[in-house]
Amino acid sequence: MIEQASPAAQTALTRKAFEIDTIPVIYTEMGTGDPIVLLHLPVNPMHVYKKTVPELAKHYRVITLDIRPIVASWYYEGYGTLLRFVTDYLVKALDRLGLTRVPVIASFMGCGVAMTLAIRNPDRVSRLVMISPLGLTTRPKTSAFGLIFGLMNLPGMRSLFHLFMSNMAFQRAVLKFDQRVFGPYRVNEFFYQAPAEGIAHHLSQLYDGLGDPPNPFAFETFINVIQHLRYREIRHLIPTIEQRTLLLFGEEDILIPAKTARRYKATLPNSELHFVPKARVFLHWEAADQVNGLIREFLQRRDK
Amino acid sequence: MHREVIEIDLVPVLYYVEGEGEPVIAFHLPTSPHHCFARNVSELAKSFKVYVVDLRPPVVLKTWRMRNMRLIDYLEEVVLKFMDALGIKKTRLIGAHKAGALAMYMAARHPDRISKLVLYSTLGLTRAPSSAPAFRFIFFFMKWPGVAFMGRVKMIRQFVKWADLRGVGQWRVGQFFGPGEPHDHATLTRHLELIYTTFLSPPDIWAYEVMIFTINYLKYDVVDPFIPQITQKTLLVFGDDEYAIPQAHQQEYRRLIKQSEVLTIKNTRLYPHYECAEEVNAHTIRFLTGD
Repeated sequence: MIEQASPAAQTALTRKAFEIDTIPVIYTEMGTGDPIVLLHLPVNPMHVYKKTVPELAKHYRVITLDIRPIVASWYYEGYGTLLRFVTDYLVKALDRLGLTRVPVIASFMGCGVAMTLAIRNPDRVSRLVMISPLGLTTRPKTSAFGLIFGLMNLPGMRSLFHLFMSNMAFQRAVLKFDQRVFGPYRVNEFFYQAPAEGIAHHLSQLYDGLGDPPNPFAFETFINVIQHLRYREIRHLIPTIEQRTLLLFGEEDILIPAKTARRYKATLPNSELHFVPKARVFLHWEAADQVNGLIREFLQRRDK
Repeated sequence: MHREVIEIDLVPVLYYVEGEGEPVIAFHLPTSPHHCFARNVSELAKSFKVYVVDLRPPVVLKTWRMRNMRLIDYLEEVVLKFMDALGIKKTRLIGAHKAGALAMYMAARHPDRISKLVLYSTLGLTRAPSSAPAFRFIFFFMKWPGVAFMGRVKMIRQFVKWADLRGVGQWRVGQFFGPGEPHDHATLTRHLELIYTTFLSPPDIWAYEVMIFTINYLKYDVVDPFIPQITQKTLLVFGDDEYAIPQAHQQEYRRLIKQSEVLTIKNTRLYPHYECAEEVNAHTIRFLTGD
């Protein structure tokens, strides 16, 4: 449920929405001060940054954008490549929020969008923080994600998916299977140690298309990013990113291993790389204090 | 008038708001409510705070199917939660076309939330909006098995839109309006774009699939038993053209809704409130402001 925006409410987490060309953009806002934008794809960014936002909001106005409605809208009514479309609308969203130049914190597939923004609109991004990024590589390395990417990219899979998913009984069966079997296996790979909240909690919060109420943009976003979020158009331009960039990886990450992390460091000229011990791709949950400290220190350094 | 968006259970609901005073909520389905009420809102907003709610996103996003709900029950829930979110305890309700059935359903079931009812060319007793050939064609085609799936195939969408802009759409839209509204190609193309906003640039992302889903899933059978239970004062506005809501149904609404009055606008068809806006606005304001 939305809460109405009011200046007094900004110390608390408020959830708001606006539209650009009928495409909704959902965002949360917390804190006051210089703005920071948080991005994530393909799952629920509000959960991904749950331990990041309150800490950063002590010093900044933290805006977490849920760009999944933009991603979900692209296939039917969008234009160009998915990456271009999403980045164009991200710029419009920044305009709408009155953000001229902001630090962008992104994770996972959201990093591809953040890097595209930094490349195409360098005047809009002051700094980049990338947590377990995809961009130099297209997909995570584990067998679970290999299976997802392999299946979803088979010819005709989108049509088949929609044919079956337009049957609600089939949809509920798929959801049940994911909740009980494949989902826990997949989400387990995000963590080095079993999370205290339980895997089921993270599964339901991250993949909120399974929730009650279900997020209506979750499935379409998932198909679109897996089939169409390709980074070929920006990969050769990544070395041109001039913004100072903080790269954060989990030392035990099996989705984006250390070798890939070092490639980012070598490719991005103004970057610094940190490995967080005893953490995987969800390092901003597993080692929240350390990650938040690194981000805060990196952002404050700019002010000197 | 300004346009806002609010989330209801993670589903974005777009709405326009204009004016100050007691609330009036207007909705229309299955096409653009903005076009449907284009000639009414500003006039009504001189006396009321008018909210035009676009119910197309809740239809298209289909969380009602995942929640195993009937579409009409889901839309009722959306409107009630919309009212709660905006602090509207009780409202006057204007429903047009397919959304007229929703308005009747809500009025009968929630007399504590709806004070008066205005219905423009409402469906409910009438299943299809018109006996005009265009509508018979649409309803025949849209009810084919697999059409909902075909609507998700990008190439089929593009073909349908291509054909629509090259005559099919103008032919269809021409049958919405009576002889008083110009029927030249340019006017009909403008109506086509504004009614089916999928033709706008950039296109309205909700406009395409809403037709398929309302035709197939917005059922009136559940509404019919509630029509005699409507206790609110009700103004029914219809056209009198041969392709308008049939006279027999107009009189049946009048008979079933105890405190109702029927306004028939001459030489209009499905958009009497658009074609003769001045007359309909005057009656609507009189009705909504009177005891």
